[in-house]
Amino acid sequence: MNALLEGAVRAVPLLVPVAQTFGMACAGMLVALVAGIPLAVAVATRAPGYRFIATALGALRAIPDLTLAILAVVVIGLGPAAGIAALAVFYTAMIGKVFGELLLAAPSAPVDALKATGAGRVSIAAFGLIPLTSRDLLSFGAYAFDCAVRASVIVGAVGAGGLGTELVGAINALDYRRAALLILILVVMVAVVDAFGSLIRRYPRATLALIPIGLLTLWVDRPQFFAFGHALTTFAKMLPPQLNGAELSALPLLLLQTAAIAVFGTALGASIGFFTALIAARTIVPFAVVAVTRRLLDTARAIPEVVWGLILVVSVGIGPIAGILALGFHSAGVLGKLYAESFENVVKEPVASIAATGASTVSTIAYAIVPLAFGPLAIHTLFRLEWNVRAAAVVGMIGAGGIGQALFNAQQLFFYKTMVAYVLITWAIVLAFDILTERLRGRELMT
Amino acid sequence: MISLRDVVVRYPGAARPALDGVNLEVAAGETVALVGPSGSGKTTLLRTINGLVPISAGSVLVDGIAVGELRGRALRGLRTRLAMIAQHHDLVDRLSVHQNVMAGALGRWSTAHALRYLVFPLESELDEARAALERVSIPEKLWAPTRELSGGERQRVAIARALVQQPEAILADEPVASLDPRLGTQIIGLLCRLTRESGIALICSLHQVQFAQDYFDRVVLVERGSLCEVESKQPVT
Amino acid sequence: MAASLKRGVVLKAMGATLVLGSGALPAVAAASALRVGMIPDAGATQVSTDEKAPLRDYLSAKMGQPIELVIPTNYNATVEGLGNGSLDFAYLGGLTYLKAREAYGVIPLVQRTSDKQFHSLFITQTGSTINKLADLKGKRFAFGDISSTSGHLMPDYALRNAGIDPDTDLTARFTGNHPATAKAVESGTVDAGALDESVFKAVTDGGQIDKTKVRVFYTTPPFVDYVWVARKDVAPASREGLANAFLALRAGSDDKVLAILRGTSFVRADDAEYATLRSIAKKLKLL
Repeated sequence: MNALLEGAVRAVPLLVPVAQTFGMACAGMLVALVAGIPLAVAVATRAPGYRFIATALGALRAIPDLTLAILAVVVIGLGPAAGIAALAVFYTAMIGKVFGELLLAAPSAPVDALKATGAGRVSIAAFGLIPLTSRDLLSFGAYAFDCAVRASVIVGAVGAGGLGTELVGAINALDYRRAALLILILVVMVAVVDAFGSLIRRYPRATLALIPIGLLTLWVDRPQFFAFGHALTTFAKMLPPQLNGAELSALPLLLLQTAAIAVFGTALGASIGFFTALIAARTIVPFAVVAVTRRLLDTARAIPEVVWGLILVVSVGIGPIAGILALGFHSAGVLGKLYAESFENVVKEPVASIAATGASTVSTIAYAIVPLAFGPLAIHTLFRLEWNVRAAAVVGMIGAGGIGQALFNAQQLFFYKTMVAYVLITWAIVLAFDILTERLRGRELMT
Repeated sequence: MISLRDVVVRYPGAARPALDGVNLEVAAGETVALVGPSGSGKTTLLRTINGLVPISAGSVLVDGIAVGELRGRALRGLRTRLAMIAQHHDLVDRLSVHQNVMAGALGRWSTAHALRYLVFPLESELDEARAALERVSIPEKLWAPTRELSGGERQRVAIARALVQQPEAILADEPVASLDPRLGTQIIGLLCRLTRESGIALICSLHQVQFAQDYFDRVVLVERGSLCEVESKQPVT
Repeated sequence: MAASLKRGVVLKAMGATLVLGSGALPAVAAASALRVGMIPDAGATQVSTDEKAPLRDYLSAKMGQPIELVIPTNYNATVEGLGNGSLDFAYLGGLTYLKAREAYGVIPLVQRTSDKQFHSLFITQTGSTINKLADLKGKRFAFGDISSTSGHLMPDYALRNAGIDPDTDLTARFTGNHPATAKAVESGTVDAGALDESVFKAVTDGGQIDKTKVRVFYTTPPFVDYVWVARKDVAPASREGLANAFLALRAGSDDKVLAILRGTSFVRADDAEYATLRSIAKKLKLL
């Protein structure tokens, strides 16, 4: 049976990494949903210790996925199991935090009515909170799954297997035809997952498909060498975090580089995304044009920052420029789509009024569509900036410089105390940015 | 100046036509009130004149030109001659008041001129905006953020924008529906006075007959897509 | 997934929660496959693993046990594999050996005869004006993996001895492996690079790199490099089995396997020979 399976799998060699990557995403997501939903309910129902849970989830979410993958490889060993563990932790934090916020936003009257019946937390969640917010939950869940597929490629890049591992290998070996093929497969895969996402929004039951795929992957890739003692000693070796004099004096420059990658990358992505979005909005240009531009944006979005980075490090050389371009191209895809939707969703009356003055299309865009969409545009951009601080640390690890590269080099040289120091610094910066952008968003939403 | 002949407008999927054989003649400088319940076809009628709604039968002529046959630049040229004022949601909140006012000039400005004005307005252009705001009695709001305006002020800005457009006619769709009656009366009075001063024709839809008889040259009743003339009188001076 | 299926180890199911590390699994039974890791000195893809199938089959036949060959994406992961027990044997570079010895007490077994007197090569484009190490000042330079001995440690040492500080005098990058360094020099992405002599010979002989486009302008003094090691808990009989399998390789009859290993014959390895390398690594703060 095994031989038969293996023969079939060998016949199509790329099926293996594709299956691994897809399986990792499903398994990671399954664990994240199983663990994250109860945490979200605990936060939303103000269960004892909910403050601690909320803080812990926020803190956990600030650790970049690639960093988690590196730690998982050290502790669990090589292979997809490490990737699944990293994804499971990252997305448990994400699902727990965001689902918690969405549940809290449920209309209060029906929930109060349930509470008045003396229902317990689980019943309130099952009969009140979750059904009341199911549309938002599904919508975000589908988005998270989409991200998880790309993230499973990213964690592959540090040895967790799948497409990421293949891609790093192909690019390092300068086998560009193979790399291009792998990227094409990735783009198709993300498109399929996208379609699955809209299926989930329409038929929530499709989510159940995750269970068999996830369980199968979890079984096939179960960690065979998990050694608790080894994990403890490895963690012990990482403490206390320390940086020597030279590393400390280099730190400000590293931080500046990472911040520059995040800020300029977001700015580049926002600029490209803005102009592309104008010719990707159905209310501005004909459908034929939209069909083309949307596919371009989808492609830019399907390729994760790390993969853009791997390609760009080869073509423009190592350093922050590669990082800025990598973040810029991926962000352009993400923001372009969101901007285009914002342009399509503006209130129609002022646009009609401006158009009715006989204004040209460009003038109508400048005087009505863009100012009207300014709020959503700013919110999307701030979200992207927050995400890109994390991503800047991640692309650093593949040679774009900054704190990420320092972290990766320290890990490669087994200087784990230094590595942990960098992990903590990265974490602190990401967390600080999260808080900052949350404040800015709050202000943006008020006006 | 504006003439509708046997105009029929059918929206796809609708049971009965929104306009069912409408005839209307409006002379230059004339003020006409369209009065009727909501859903009677007033908005459709106004939008038909501007070429925003395609007509199914009949013809709409502006100075003898058939609106339905215009496309692209020619249609924009026609729209420049007809200013529109909508019920509400008419201004762009993120722009300042002077930008909203000068949006009325977009039809005669080139695109490059329009973009330049957003970032670098010239003093002469600001003077024009200020003059328009003076005519609606709120010159002090020139630099104010639009979202801080009251409902009455917003409609005054919309009127100022229409004046900047230097149109031959203003098409106003329920311009005071969201205002309290006293404020509504003020705004309608202002609109009629200003259009008369400049010799601009005004076609204005309302749902209260009250205002209409006091301020307009003619009042036309609109019901289920058909018109019927109520009253004609000499202009109030 | 094929690799995972191949393990064929029937373990008592402990369910999905295992991934989160809630329980420890029993040690893998002795009848299972031996896991042999290799640092990705020449890339780490499915293709590179498949290319090494003759080596896997040879070892498996000699040791009478199934062998699973694993090439992690980076040097660190190979050492950690030995540390956490996910690898039984591994092929390491000189510096990674020192790391693994220090951290996990791995046992050196065998190495190629050439590894006792190994060299790093500095290469540049045929038409370039670089002729000695001092000419590299201000140039773009490629190292291999940061943990590589012949791709980073020894070239770094040679540069410093020639008065070039790689941190300040060069625009240096790490390509991750030796063939990538050669490609980077051939394509002109960098002005010069340093790499393993056996890989350079393999890629120029094999035609992956155009011999007429690159030239060697400096060869380092000899040092001891690559070595095959065992995790310290591997049974002595098993260790000897692997060592003997390598020692039995003969040119003429085992050419396919030797070509994969880029060598001609194998000899016993000894930790004492690494003393010099160890002090250099300490001096450069890489250990």
